[in-house]
Amino acid sequence: MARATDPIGVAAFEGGFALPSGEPGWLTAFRGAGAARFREVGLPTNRDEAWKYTSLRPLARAKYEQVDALAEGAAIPKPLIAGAAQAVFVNGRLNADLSDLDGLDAAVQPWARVATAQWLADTVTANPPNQAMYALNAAAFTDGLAIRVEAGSALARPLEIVFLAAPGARPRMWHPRLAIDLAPNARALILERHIGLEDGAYLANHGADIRLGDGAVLVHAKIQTEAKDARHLAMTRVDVGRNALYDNFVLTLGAGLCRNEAAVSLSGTKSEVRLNGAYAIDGRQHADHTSRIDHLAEDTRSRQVFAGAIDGQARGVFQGQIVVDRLAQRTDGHQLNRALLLSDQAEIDAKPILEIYADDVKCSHGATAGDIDDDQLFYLRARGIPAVQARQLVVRGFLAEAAAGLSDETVRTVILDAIDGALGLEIAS
Amino acid sequence: MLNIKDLHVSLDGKPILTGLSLTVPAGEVHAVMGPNGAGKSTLAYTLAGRDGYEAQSGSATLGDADLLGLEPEERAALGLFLAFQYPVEIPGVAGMTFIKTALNAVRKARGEPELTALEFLKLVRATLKDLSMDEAMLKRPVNTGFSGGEKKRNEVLQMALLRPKFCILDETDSGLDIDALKVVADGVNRLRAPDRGMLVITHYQRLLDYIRPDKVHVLARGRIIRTGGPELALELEEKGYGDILAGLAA
Ligand SMILES: Nc1ncnc2c1ncn2[C@@H]1O[C@H](COP(=O)(O)OP(=O)(O)OP(=O)(O)O)[C@@H](O)[C@H]1O
Ligand SMILES: [Mg+2]
Repeated sequence: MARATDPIGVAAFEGGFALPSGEPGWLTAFRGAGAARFREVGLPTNRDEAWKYTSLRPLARAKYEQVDALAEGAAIPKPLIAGAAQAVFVNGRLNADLSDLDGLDAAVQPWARVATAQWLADTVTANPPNQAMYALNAAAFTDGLAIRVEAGSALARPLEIVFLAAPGARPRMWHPRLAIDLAPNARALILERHIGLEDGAYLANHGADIRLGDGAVLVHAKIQTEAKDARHLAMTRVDVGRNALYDNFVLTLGAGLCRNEAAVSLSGTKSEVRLNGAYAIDGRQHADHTSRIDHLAEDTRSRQVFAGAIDGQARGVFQGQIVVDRLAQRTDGHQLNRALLLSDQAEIDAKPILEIYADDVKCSHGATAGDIDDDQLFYLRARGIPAVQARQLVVRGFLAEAAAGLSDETVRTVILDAIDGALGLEIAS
Repeated sequence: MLNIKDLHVSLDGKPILTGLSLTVPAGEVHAVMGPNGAGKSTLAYTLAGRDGYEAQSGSATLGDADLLGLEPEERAALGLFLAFQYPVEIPGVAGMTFIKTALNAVRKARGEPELTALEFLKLVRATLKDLSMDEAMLKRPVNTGFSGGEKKRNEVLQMALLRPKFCILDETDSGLDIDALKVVADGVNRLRAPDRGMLVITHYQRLLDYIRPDKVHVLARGRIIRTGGPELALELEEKGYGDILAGLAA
């Protein structure tokens, strides 16, 4: 009898499993674990509770080439943050010529060059590669960036990691990998940009591991403007130490299908995570923001605000799981998921899950979904602002609110500008 | 300037305004008073073009323009301004952005060049100073978390910046402390001009001490049932609407 859950899509991907020579033993073992896991579970589909609203079944039929070809004559976007360094990937491959990492040499390295470093092994292997697409990334990745900031110091310049996608005639895929390790009291500001340079189908399957030592602060933002036919998947695993702050924001604008997933462990007392995000989708876009936050220690704090503007036949998914361990007394967790449904066919699926095993906690979640407020529109129009622009302003304000929690003002401004740009607004602030 | 003739407005099938006529010549300030639920805000919304507040019959013109056929933004571009009884919160949109967008939209509609960032800032600073208001208000999202009084001040600030031809103030004085009341009255008085008209909806004689209206109208039973000079407001303050309404019934 065939099993009801035969893994799907293994054949389509296992040809790309990589075992580069010269990698250290821990990495070979990690890749092996990833490969084994992916062979076991295959592509996630609606049958998996964690993928109830987002199925990757269609990927099994797509024939993706793994190509690291460079884009010819592609314009490299200028940094959005003044003075920022840039690590530029083209189709998943780090391109040293296009990158500007001056002054960051020791801290920001191609993955292969630091593969033997103990900190990298510790950061990456803290958890087994369980999530299916993360496991696939582990098995198949060929390039990545490894960032390490020493204790008490700050990354000398803000860093923008730019992922440029230049699709070819046939669908392409890449599985880039990121590791960030901030030693105790280290600080860094990192902005990821995912840019589809031209139309075309491709699969970008990102995997990331982040470790924040005691007192470390990482501001980590992401602006995703992949091509409309692209599938963008990202799994980020984060461990936050004592008194450390992981301040994350994701702005999702592009890709036909996007799943941005984060698993955050608040393992040190008084550690804090902010997982905020905004998305504006249209047409048949599908944007899934999934997270799991584990409060594992006392006095930990989590904040989540997601705001989505969903138009056309687009579909938003928000899954937020907060787990409060028995030991995590005085946890303070708050989650808010808001969606503006801008058309009759727009859809939002929300699944908040609170699992609380400690008795002294403050945890809440909320969700709203609805149309634009007519009173707001009328107020703006009564001041002379035409209807279309009034709508944009209201949407803008709605999305911008999610960025209010960002601790870094520069990044907040960059995010707000990107929102304005996406909505076609010209706002001089 | 503003001419309203035999205006009929129903809300969800319920007649609210039933043949209201009113004229405010340029250069004059008229007060409208009337019991709760009489239809004062309905009149204001109908003139400003709010969805659901369509006139079944009658007319309303501002200068040569027929207001009733126009979109709200077109009415604003003509110079009509409504200070809301309940100003609306717009989270995530800074006051500065909002006013600049509005000002430039109106200028554009009138074929005037948009203001540069510097011109705009100068104008804002000067206006804030005139009204003894703080710039902090414009850095916050529009009306969001504002106190009742702050919201009303914000309406007056917008009015002063947009310099409309015709202002309707819907209970802008309600809920204000004495100082704020003076700020509002001052804002109105500064805008008084021979080519500008105003309709001030209020429940209180107090405001009219500061803004001396040319005429006072009483709106009840869906119409203007009485018109007089400033002394009418005093009379209403003393006796209420009972006598006038009783006179109608008789
Ligand atoms: N959608 C609606 N359907 C039916 N009746 C409505 C609707 N909206 C408002 N009304 C009624 O219309 C009447 C006039 O309301 P309006 O707000 O214009 O009064 P007002 O004179 O401004 O009162 P106030 O002095 O309390 O501000 C009220 O009786 C109100 O309940
Ligand atoms: Mg009213």
